[in-house]
Amino acid sequence: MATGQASTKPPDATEYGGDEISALVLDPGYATTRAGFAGEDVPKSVLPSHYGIIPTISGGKQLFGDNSIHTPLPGISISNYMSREGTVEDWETAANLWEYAITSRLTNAKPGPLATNGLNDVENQEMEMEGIEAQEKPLRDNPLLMTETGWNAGRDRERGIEIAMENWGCPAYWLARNGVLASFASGKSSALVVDIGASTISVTPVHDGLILKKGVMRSPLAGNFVSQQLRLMFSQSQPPIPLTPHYLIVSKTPVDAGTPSQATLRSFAPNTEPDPSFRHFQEERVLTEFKESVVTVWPGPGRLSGHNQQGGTNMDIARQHPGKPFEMPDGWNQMFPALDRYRPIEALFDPKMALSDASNPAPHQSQTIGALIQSSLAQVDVDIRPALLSAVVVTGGSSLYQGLTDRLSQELQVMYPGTRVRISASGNAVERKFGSWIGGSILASLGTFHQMWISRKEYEEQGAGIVEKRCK
Amino acid sequence: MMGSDARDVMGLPSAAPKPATPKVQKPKGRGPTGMIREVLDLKYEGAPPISIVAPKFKDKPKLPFKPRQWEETPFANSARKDGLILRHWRRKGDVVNGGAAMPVTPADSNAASEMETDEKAPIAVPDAPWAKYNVKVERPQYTDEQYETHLKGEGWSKEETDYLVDLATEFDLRWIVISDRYDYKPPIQPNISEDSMAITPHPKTRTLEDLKTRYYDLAAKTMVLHNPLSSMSAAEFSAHEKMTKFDGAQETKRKKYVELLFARPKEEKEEEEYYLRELSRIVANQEKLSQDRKALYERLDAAPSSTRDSMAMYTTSQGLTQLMQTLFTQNKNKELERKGEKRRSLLESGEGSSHNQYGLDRSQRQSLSGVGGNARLSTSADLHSAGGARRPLTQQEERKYGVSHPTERLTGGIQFRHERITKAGQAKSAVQTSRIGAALTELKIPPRLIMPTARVVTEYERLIEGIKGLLEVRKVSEKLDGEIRVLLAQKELMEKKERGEDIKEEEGTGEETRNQEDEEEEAEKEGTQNDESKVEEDNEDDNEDDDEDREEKDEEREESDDEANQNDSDNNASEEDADGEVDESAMAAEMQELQEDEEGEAQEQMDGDGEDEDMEDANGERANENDEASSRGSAPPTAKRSASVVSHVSNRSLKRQKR
Ligand SMILES: Nc1ncnc2c1ncn2[C@@H]1O[C@H](COP(=O)(O)OP(=O)(O)O)[C@@H](O)[C@H]1O
Ligand SMILES: [Mg+2]
Repeated sequence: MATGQASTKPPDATEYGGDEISALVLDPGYATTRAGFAGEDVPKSVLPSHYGIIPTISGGKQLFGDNSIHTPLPGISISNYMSREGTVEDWETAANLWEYAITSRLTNAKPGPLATNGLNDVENQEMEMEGIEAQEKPLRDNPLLMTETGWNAGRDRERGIEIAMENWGCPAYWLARNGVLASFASGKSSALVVDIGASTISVTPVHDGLILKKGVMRSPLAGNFVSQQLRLMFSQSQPPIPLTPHYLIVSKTPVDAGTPSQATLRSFAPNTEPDPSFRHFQEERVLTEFKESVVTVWPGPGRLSGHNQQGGTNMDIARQHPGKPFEMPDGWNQMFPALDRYRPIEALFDPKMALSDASNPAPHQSQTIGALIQSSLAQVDVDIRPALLSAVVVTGGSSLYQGLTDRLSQELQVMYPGTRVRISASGNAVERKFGSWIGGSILASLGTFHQMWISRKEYEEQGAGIVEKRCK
Repeated sequence: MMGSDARDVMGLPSAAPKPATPKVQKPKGRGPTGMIREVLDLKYEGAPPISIVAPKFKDKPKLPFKPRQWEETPFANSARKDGLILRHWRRKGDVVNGGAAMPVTPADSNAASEMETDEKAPIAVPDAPWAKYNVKVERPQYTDEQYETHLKGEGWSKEETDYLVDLATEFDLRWIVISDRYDYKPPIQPNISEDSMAITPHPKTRTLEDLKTRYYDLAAKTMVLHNPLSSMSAAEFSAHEKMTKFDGAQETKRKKYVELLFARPKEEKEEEEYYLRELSRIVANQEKLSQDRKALYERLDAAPSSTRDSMAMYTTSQGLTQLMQTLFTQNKNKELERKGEKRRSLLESGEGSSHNQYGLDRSQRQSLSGVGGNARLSTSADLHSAGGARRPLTQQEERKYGVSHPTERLTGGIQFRHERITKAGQAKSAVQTSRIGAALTELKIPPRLIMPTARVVTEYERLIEGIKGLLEVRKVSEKLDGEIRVLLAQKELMEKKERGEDIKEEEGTGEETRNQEDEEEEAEKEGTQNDESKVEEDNEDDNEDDDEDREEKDEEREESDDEANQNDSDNNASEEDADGEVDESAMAAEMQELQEDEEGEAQEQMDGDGEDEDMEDANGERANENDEASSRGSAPPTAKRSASVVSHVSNRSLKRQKR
């Protein structure tokens, strides 16, 4: 029975320095917003940062979460509260979505008017507004740690604490850079963090748990860019590959590879059609599926556009690699040759290989991962460059392409032949996607972090500007 | 309480005390009890018996201990000045470790006060054990006056200095971060007119070194301001020392080199790695070599200290060959292993002429010094098999490694150099051996040569030969001396007789002269008296086993004891001392030898003369060898000294012969 007793014992806090205080961690990203309790392995609440708007008479109703935004309601349009820069653009919606993320999955709904979650009838909301003040606020027991990008600055840094303190009644707040957190998640306090997300790819030098601002570099060659490459590839192929999202398919019959699909599409009565943004969003989900299963990174050596030692082109070699079949929601399917599997992601390393058209110009060389790392390292002191190169942390959902870390390692080794390059990327897809959240979870559950929090009292004394002073 | 609907959905019985449910009757005739149902199923085919079990909640686990309760306890952190109270889950009744309970007065607006709205009294909450990790860098303190008088820095305004100090404190002197965040904007001075605005200095870009230089200078000076150097503690003083010694220019220069190093091309890096690899291999090899050498020395040391019996085995030539065979096979095995290693390492680290050469060098050294560096494989066949295709050795190298190209078949087979050394030092009798040893000691040549190269050993052998010759010569000369004296004594006696003295004494003459001879001999040895004591010791050991010698010795002693007393008066005190110390048995043995050798004395005399010259020669050559050896770190006797000693010895023997 000794074992039974042991299992009820918490691990000795001094062993890992943990001392949990029911803090919450909120990590907003362009693709998803992640929230959960500090000290846990994965965020319990992950919802798309996209939200639906149903036009109503009084302005529009917001829909949050996977359960509601994928239904083709009449007139539904999809927006994102995050900007393409990876920073919060629409603070009002952000606050609503965050609160939904927290209260729907993490904290119990407080007894009292349900209006607190902002999801109820607009008419009611107006009426009960005065009541809220007197009521309990949703997070009065939970300190909140929020994340931000390395380039988040100015007023944007202060909005978070205002929401946390004013709207949610948090006892304490902290704002951390997601690069730092990603490096914590991989057990490092100094690292060169390469975060390949949905809207941006960023390189953040982290030294002793602090970002080196001058070295923070970013470019848009991330998940959304690859999606765009895929769209271009589909539309430029002969004949064009149709991209029909799931919601449009009523029924389908299997067809041979390469032959037109035979599916019955859903038709909408006039004025009940969803907004084109809805279709775009749904297409994006198909593309993500395609990315996950078909797209891989050219394994090297060298670039896809390069030559090998025997004098042949790498393209020729790539043609001999195995392809992969993919079936669209409407039943259209095809074996995608290896070249098509390599091509859409190759532009992250080699802009020459990017597909482009009039509205989507090819990226610049300086936007590639290699160039970002190079210019980032050029901004930091030479003494720590080798250390950073030996601790390159790769994180973010779009780093999950097969072979990406190996290729990056090769590229860096070519760029810095005299230095040891070591890439540390978790083999676990969940840890890769939630890298910065996990780092936040670690940080906020540390006993030594207690003295860092910005308390409610400090906020009330010094105002929102305290974030700039404290969260370096 | 779960609604009854929900229970319905889950198919659970209602929570209300249910009416006594009819006991489900077990189907009868299920066969013997105590059998597993599955087994029964196999036995009695047919419809499996259905057990009807009413669904119900899992039983509460019966735990042998009482669960302790957890409660959300508030706590404060003394590292915080705002009295923030956080809550964590703790076992009820657990003593909070670390930190005394800290009474905190919650501020009105504090979250805690909101929580405990009813109790306005200050609550005593335990302090977090983490507070102790709140360590801060000490900020250099200075007043405006102090700054003006002592701390001004070139190109630095007070505002910027303050900014720097703030930043440095803020980031706990993490200079990398400080220089990254350093962004000083000089305040816009309102009194500057429009046109002068154009020439307001552009905010300087400060390098990391600039910042460090300024800060350390400032910090060191403030340290002295607060606490003069004389009253500083050791730690403070060393900190001050470090700060004043900081050289920004030097650092900048270093950074430039680091930058070059960082940007260095692959080839250079590989080259460096290659050299490092080679170095480590050489070092490792060196260790192995010296270890082997040590092991061998130990083995050689152990042999003489072991009992005679085990040694006796090696005293015959047969035994020696056997020993050599075993040593050689051991050596060979080791070498084969090493060769394997070498081949592997060669494959690993690519080719390259320099490398190849190195590999050969190494194998050569190993094959030659496999047994402690003084073994020598004298057959060229062995060398051949050891290295496959070999680069021909230069003359100098051949000499160095002791490679010889004998034209005739070698009769002795394989020979170790150390064997030759020991053999050379051994004479027919133990006395002779010890005399040779004494001579060598006098020459300051160690019994085990420090650098026994082939040439040195050859010279050593020649030297021993020379010593032997000289010893022979000395014996002869002493013999002759004795005879001369006997004759003189006889002559005297005869003269006395003529003068009519007592004839009785005549009987003892033979004995007396004999003894006299002994004494004379000892007297002559005065020069080498120091060694005599050593010789004596050695002799004691040696002669104990030498039965023949002992018998003779005993006889002699009986005869001579009486006589010696009589003759004491003839010798002076010092001679007496020497006499007492010298082992008589040694004398006796020598006498014996002298008698035996009498016949060939003339011949040997001639040889001896020749040998003397040879000796001089040999010493000359040896000198060269010695120089070579000493340049390799050993310290054999200087050439001049040994030469002079030898010539001294030979002069003496010549003089004696003339006499
Ligand atoms: N297995 C995968 N392979 C390739 N791309 C993926 C994979 N999983 C997710 N993605 C892409 O990663 C992006 C989301 O990454 P994430 O790090 O969550 O972004 P953000 O931090 O901006 O929210 C999306 O563009 C998605 O398409
Ligand atoms: Mg992200």
